[in-house]
Amino acid sequence: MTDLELLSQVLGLEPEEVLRRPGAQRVLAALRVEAASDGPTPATDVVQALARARERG
Amino acid sequence: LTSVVVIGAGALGSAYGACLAQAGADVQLLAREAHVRAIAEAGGIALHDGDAVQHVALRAEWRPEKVTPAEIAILLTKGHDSAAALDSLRHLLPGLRVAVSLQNGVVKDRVLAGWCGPERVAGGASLVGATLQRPGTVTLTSRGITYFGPGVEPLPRLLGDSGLETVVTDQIEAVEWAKLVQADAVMTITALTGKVMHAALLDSDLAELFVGLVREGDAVAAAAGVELRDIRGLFPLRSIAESGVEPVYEAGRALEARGATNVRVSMLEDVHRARRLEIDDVHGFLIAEADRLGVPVPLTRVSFDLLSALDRTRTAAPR
Repeated sequence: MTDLELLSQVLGLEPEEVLRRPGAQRVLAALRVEAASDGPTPATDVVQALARARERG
Repeated sequence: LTSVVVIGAGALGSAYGACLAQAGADVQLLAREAHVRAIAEAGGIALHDGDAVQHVALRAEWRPEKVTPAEIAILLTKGHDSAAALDSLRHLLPGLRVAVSLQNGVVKDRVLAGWCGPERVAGGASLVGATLQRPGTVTLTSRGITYFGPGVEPLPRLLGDSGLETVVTDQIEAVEWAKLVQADAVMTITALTGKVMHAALLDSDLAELFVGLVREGDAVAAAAGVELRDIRGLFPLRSIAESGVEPVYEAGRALEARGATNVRVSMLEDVHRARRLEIDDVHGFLIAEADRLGVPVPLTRVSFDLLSALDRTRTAAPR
């Protein structure tokens, strides 16, 4: 699953709508930065936690 | 007769106005036109409280310039509407004795101070819940505590006479900060998942996130010189900051045990109705304070960005 698909699922928005939201754009940018670094991953942690919680219903 | 104006009388402001009028205060609501017209037509507001419905006579107005002077002002607009609302009510200032905001956050007191001067501002925090069923009809959904700083008499006595619990404390800043930090964590785990409160608190991932957000809020509060404490009526934030998820689970189990299994944050309704979300005075304020004080708040930043993405009023113009 791509970052955009994951964020789309978490926010309950279509991917193209996600891309229109400045807040989502900032999160997507943070996810990209975190994926390319060995440092802390707060955006990834939060988005994945929310995704797992949503999956559990 | 104590005169009170409630500025921004939506659900909560209408509930407070009705309770104060019941206790004998001369109350004016500044509210939306439809609500005001319904109140005028009925000669008062309908207050639902449990199985009881009471008709409470009070005045209401939607045109700020028609609001008459009052000795006490209670501010309950949406945070982002405060400055404009107060600016339209400058004619109230000469007769005003004290102003109190029961909005979320801490910045509200600074906004009020900018309007009427800090010497006339008392702190306040409301744990009362209310919903506006329709124009002219308000329901008390939760009889939580109302905290006030000193100097707001006779508000606590009047609310007490109407059956609402009030606490006057010289530690009101600590209460306001605790409510702020709780709002930050609660909005994040419920509005971003659509979960009811107890279910969100009992979810392992969300409980961990809740703890992380509380610890960030605790660090910002400490840097600002405020000690986060366990406050009666709020989740035990000091315990959560120190102990982790177990007090969060306990809070969820306590809600479940007393049958509070349908508690939804009002922000979900704001998302549904495409209204502006009140995150600037909560997450936004915490982030600004964190930046000012040099405290890292990465989880709060991500929460703010995700919540702002849910806010359709913040949609970027199509390119």
